[in-house]
Amino acid sequence: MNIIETENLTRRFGRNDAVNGLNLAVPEGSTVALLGANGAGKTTTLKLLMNLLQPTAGSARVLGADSRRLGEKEFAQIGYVSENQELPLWMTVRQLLDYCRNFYPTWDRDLEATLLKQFALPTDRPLKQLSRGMTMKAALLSSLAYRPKLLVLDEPFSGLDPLMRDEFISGVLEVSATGQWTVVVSSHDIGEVERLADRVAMLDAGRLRLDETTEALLGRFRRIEATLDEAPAALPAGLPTAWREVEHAGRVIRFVDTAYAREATEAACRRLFPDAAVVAQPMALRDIFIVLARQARGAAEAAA
Amino acid sequence: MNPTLAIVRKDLRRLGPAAALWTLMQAGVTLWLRQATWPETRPDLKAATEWMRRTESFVTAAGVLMAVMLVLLAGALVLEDRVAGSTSFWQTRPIGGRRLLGAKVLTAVLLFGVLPLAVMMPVWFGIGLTAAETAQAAWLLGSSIAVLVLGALCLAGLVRNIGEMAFAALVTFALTVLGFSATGTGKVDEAGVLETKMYLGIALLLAGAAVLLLRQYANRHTERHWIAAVAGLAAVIGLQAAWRWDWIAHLPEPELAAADRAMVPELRKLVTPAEAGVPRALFLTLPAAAENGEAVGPWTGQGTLRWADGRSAAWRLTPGGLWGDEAAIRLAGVRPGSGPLPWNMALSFTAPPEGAPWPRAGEAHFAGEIGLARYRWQVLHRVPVRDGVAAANGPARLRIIGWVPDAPASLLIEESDSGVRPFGSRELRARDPQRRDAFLLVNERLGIVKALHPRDLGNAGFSGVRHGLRVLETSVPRGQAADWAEGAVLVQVRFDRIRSFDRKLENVPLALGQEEKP
Repeated sequence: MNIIETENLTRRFGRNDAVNGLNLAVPEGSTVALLGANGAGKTTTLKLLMNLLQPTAGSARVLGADSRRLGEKEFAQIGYVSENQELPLWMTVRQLLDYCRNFYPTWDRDLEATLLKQFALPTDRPLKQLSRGMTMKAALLSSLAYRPKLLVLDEPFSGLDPLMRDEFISGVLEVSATGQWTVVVSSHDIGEVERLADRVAMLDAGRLRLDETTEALLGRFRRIEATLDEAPAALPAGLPTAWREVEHAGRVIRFVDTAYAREATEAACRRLFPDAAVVAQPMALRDIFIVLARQARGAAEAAA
Repeated sequence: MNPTLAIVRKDLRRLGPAAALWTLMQAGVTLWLRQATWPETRPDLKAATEWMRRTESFVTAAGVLMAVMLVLLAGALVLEDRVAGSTSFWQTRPIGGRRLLGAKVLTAVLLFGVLPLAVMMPVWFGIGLTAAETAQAAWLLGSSIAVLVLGALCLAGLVRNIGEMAFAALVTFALTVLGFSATGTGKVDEAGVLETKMYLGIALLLAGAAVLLLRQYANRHTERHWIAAVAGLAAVIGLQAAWRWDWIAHLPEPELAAADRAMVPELRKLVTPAEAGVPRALFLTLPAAAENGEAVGPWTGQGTLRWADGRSAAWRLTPGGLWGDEAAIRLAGVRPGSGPLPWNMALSFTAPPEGAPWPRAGEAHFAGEIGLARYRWQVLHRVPVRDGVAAANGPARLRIIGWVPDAPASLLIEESDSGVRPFGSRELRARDPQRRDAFLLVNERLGIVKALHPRDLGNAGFSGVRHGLRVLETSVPRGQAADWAEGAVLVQVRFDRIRSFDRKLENVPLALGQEEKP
């Protein structure tokens, strides 16, 4: 069952398509990373899903309800933390939790106490006196303590130092491990997202460029380095289209195979570089993202 | 806790102190005005006028400040959980728009309704207002607050911060004032038109604001609602400019009690200078005497005066300087009498008859209507005329400062009283006559009664309290003032309106009379 489904979801601001014909499905229990460069449409997509913006065209369903009709019943099962969200900064952490508790029948006071201890939040200080990281943790706590079915995190790591990021992610991981929660996290901080996500969706210029499991994505991307006996005068013709960012320096040819399969890739290398020593290195999600982003930018420039 | 009440409690905690401060300021200004007194004992008109002007300025400034603060406070209540935009905390919490609006309205009622009235009630009772006067003061203050708060809630629902709110409120206020100022030509026969469109405009603005508020909380289509708000405001302003119909004239008249019906006035005599053809004053008599402390009297009138040669002029009646003096003399028992009560109304022409010489008044007929009111009258004060003498009667206090050393002899007095003018504004009621006082100088030793003509030096009103300085002008020669004052008593007779109604006049012939003074 999909917790989120979109169908040709589109949002225009003036003449700009912030989100363009998005078709996305988020299965229940998954942790999906919504990746993209700044302005790719991540935040707009999440706002459309949360009924914070109205779609120009298309539709979305969240927890089985039309996103434009999300009401109290649905939001009682949704946790939303965003870097842009305004919090009642005059409240102390305790006041914020006391206030939020009134709206959630499923609020778990034991979980609240556990998270409070884990996040080491001072309960008697107003939020405006806390650091940004502390404030984000308070927001996260207020969105986790009722065990939401869907947790939506919009750029949650912005402005957080590494230690705070680690604590934040640990908090989400620990809590999500305790139940069948679905998490959607948007970020351009891919290194952190890699720890969280079991599925990746990549947006570029409002369009969905990629949507697959993290495992499959990491599995099909390899940085290949072929070392030849002699430096070639030029690259051979007929390189596979899945090979990206091909470059050569002296005897070494490097490229990224975006459809890596050990036997097929080795066979292609033997055919094109018969005497080469070939090494395939796994890639981090961040590097994969950069390759895909460059590819998207090149395609856009070519189209222009 | 119920989620709605949780929001209310949160907002009370957030805005309660500011609202309490606002309320205390309201009470503070009211009490300050109540105890205010002109510090001088000499009847120096220039100094008295200057002091009164300063007092009026302070009270007006306080009223404006209070109104601005109220608008911003009500705006802050909405902006605490901002509706416009997509980054508010509540928008991704299980808080529906209707629930939030309900909570905001409930909070507004508590902060800007219950709290101020709870604080002001003891103040009003404390200064001597009766239960009925207190209820009226509460209603007028409450309704004034409600109008401002509703407008502020509506505007705040469409903006993102308090700065935008202040700007939007300023622009809206300016446009509304300009729109409402775009009234007709000032002809007297447009008075009903002006009133009709004023009340229509206010009603449309309030209804529009309420609808907009509901819609904005329901679906948060901020841009569309801005367009609707601007279009609505423009439509109301356009309506103000284009409106030409008097609906108030067609309102059913209040059902007249039998006692009122018996007191319907008859035009008996037109008082006009013998040498001029155009009347300048009208002398009305009401056929029935006063009863049970109540009397019917005129307070306004308008219509057309037509002469036999076909010329006509639009006229307006206003209470003359000696409007109720003769009636007061009778009612207060100073000079008992029987028969109809006499009233003086000043006649003015907003469209004078063309050509000269003007026809004689005796050849004319009146058509139009006279506004009547049933007044409750009472002898408010009866004090010896001596410098510094003070008297109190309920909330009304009077101090005789002394004879002004100018000709003709005039008496300077200071008054503090109940007068319901929230924020110093006029009462929101169609054709509401003012409370009127008659002043009499009675010297039984000399066997003389003189009506005094009151002239306001200034009048400051705030939230149920009124304070003013008056000069009571007499026809007594300055040199004789001391003789007149010796053993004299100043009698103040107050006429408070209970209800008003109109009397149609159709082709009432005017009898030519000698000029008379009551």
